[in-house]
Amino acid sequence: MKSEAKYSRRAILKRLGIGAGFLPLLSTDWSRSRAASAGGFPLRFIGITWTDGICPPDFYPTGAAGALPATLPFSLTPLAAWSSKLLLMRSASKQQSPIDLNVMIDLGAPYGGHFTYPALFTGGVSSPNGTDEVPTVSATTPSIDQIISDNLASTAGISNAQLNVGCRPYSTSTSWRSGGIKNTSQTDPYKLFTSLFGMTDMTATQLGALHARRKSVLDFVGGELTNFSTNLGSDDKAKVQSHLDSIRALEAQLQSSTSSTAVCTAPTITPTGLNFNTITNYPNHVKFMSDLVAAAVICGKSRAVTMDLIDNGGGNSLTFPWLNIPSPDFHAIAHQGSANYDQKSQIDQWFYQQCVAEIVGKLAAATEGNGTVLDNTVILVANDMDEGAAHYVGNIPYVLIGGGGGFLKTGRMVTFPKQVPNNYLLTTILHAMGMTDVTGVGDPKYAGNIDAQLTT
Amino acid sequence: MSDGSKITHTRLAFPWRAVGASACAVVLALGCTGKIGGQSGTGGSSGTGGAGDPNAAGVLPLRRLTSREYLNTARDLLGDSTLGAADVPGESDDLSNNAFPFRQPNVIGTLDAGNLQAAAEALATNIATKLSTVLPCTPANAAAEAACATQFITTFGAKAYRRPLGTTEVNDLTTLYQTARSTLSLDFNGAIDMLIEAMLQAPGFVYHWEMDPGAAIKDGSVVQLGNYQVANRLSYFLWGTMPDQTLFAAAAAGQLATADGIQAQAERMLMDSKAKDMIADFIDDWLDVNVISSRPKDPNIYSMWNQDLATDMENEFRSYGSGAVLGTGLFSDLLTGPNSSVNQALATIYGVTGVTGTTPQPVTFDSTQRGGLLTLAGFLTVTGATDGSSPVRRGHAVLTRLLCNVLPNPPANVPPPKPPTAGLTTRQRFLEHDQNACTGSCHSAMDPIGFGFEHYDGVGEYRTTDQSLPVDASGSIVLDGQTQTFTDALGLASMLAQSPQVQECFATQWMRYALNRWDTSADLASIQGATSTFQAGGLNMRDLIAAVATSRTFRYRTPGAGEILP
Repeated sequence: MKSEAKYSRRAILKRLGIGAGFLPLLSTDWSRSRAASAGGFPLRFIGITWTDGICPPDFYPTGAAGALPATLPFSLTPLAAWSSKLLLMRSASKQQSPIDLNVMIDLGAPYGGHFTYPALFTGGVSSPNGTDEVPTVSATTPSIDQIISDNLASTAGISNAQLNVGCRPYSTSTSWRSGGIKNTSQTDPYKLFTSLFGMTDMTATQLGALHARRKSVLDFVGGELTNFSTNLGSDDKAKVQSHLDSIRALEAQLQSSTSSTAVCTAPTITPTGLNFNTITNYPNHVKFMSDLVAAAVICGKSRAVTMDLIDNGGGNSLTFPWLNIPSPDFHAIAHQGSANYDQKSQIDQWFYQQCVAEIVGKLAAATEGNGTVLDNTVILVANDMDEGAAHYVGNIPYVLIGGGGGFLKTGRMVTFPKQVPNNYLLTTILHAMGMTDVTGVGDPKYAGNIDAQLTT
Repeated sequence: MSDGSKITHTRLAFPWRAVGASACAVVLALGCTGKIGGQSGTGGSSGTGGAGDPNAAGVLPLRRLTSREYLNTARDLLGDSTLGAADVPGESDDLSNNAFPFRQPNVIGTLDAGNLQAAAEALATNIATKLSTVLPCTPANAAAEAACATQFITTFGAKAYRRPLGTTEVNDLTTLYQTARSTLSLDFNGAIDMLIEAMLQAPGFVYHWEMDPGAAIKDGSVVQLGNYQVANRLSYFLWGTMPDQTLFAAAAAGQLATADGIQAQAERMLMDSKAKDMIADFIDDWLDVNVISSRPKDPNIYSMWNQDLATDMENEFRSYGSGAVLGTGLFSDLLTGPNSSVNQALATIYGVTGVTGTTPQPVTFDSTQRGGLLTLAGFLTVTGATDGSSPVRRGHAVLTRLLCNVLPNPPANVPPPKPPTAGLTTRQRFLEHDQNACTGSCHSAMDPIGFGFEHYDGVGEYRTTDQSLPVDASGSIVLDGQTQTFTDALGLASMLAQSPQVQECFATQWMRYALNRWDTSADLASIQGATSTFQAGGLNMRDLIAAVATSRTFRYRTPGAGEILP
């Protein structure tokens, strides 16, 4: 009744969610992938997202490609101290992103901004209206945090790489285990703290006994799941397989150890007991999560992270009274477009300050060899549409921060003469993570990368 | 559009980089309402799609316990209510346009598996000090421990898995017990405790797949659910928790193989206090009041808004709904009833005097201002804006949740209405907004309904003026194929209560809730049958619930693709 091989190459390819057509795009020699920087330090990925687009004049630098201006665009000013670690992308001729969600456009939805979220880190999304039986939208392939995590497990035996967190996450997700199966985000910072740092006060004997007990129970559960799935239909089998994979991940975590050389300190998450449904606690919610993400990465507890900051479906949940914007809500502000860039950019700037700069600052302060953890990390900040009023999916704004172990050439803006699919960017990030043999992410017809633009 | 088919407008090709107006124009051309799923003729079109196949039954997708079900089951299995919803795998309540109306559990990922592990460990720790409450035997000596463990596995296991255990399952649990005693050096009680921890993470506990032993009972292309499967489906539908001993006994005696047997149990169970919570859950989820605590309001406009008031509103809403169903049971009382129970904070919102303290007290609303579920503060707050009312959200809720219509996804470039402005009522601002070519199609369906609620502000307070101008709450709605007009929300609610279309939609929503999935064409005859029972019995909602529980699609299922039947 015991389960089959836990992380076989076949299982990983299956989890990648693509049929045989995608296989030629993948290396046949996984061992060639590297999981560390040239200096031998771990490589990490952090994807951060929020919704409702950007205000182009406050987001894209003007001028030619090359060194960043002394003063960053308004929304990005919280990152000024780390300007040398930034890598911005812009169309050569317009203040717009050169990155398209081609998959959406192929589906006849160039203005499908309501349904882009699952594609941001996967490069694939189902029909925006789903099907008659399943009228929802989902990713069609795994997200890059999942791919990175699977690769680390396969090639380096690192089983605790993935971390998915959210504050008020969208009902959909940026992190997907495979097509149609999203990863659940942890939204409670207190629980996240416990899971990351909560066992540090146990003795080795106590920890050993706990691990032994858990291993026995998880072995049993895995066996029962395997038996259980035998006669199920294919759709239900896939659900049980996800559960089984998760059990294996828990088992593997029992055997894992940290792998960072940086000095690691658990963050202080106070005050405790906050009700995060109360909107005035949202700044603390974001800060707590940001500090925990930074600590998880610095401490070697996580190496592939996603962070969904906001649920704004239907304009139902977020106001910013601490910015003197008690109304209207974020969604309504975004719909006002250029008529209300002031408030929208103010909010975007706040997200960069409260979350992105919080993480960047901590990673930049964590020494690793002659550099910092930030130098060995790629932070990808994404939004689900161009300008909020237009919902256009042809110019998806992404910001890159961190060097990926020297892979990315930062401190500059790169311009593109023509649009490229976001799949190219995702593939390049996998290359930065050492998966240099991967030739595509998502739909095979979007195989390609932008290594040349971002690394030289 | 009311042809019973779901709109597939996004499959129309957009030109590469079409200007925004193109997206808008496509939606205009398509009209605004449709139906979801394959349920032609249901959910608002009152039989226009013809009769469904009486021999059909829908699929039974595998799903895990919801967070509510997990917590209730832990309470009834172990007597433990120490865990909260955040401690166990939760559900996404997708509020986006055309999303499933009720919570649906997601597939278990690593975080969920970790939560299941932590919850099981916590429950096992708690029960460790009172194992005698679940142990069927007390071994007199070491030699008797193994036999007692076996007895425990079969008896407690049958409760935890909610059906008799198979031989392999018993053997696996026995092996785990032996591992606990030998490899882990646990004593008898410790090993039993670890068995509980393991069972609570096993598929038998976590998933709804409570199959009876023996061969499947085929009936043409569908399969009849076994007695234990029916017992569980019935129990989790009507109580949100595991079967009690009476229901287990009925399953063991084979009494749930007939509609009459299920009817008898359903009538019994609806009289139990556990049914109240289930009905309240339905009401709460159906109109999305369950998300009220996360709704922000502008403190400069609604200074009274806080978490306590949100809780008060939700509690009142749940209590009102369950009270209507379990009281007279009349559908009209749900939508137009005059009585509720409120505490002082809510009484202030309603303008009711004489209520003090935090404990709800019975009140009768001013019949010229308020009556029925749709005029309660919970609904009006969730569908209100942060800074005022919202004809769009309120109209959208009526269209999708009471008429079962489906709105196309909004075009990308819908301009917003003007912000609250002195000299313009909310109605005037939205009427102006509706003149925009891009907004006109859907908003012409939503807003005239939503205008009916203009007497209520963003938290449900009654008002006669808006921006110092008189409120005009008149509106119109297309019901049963006819455009009907009303003067305010009270008139609208009366129309809704009397509409066969709304009654049929209500039956459909209960069926969706019971099945935890969208309805399909295979469910059509069952929905039609439940609707007929509902209407024939004077619109008693308990009759409807029982009719759903005894329907063909509740008792039978279409096997999944690739499934191997025993």
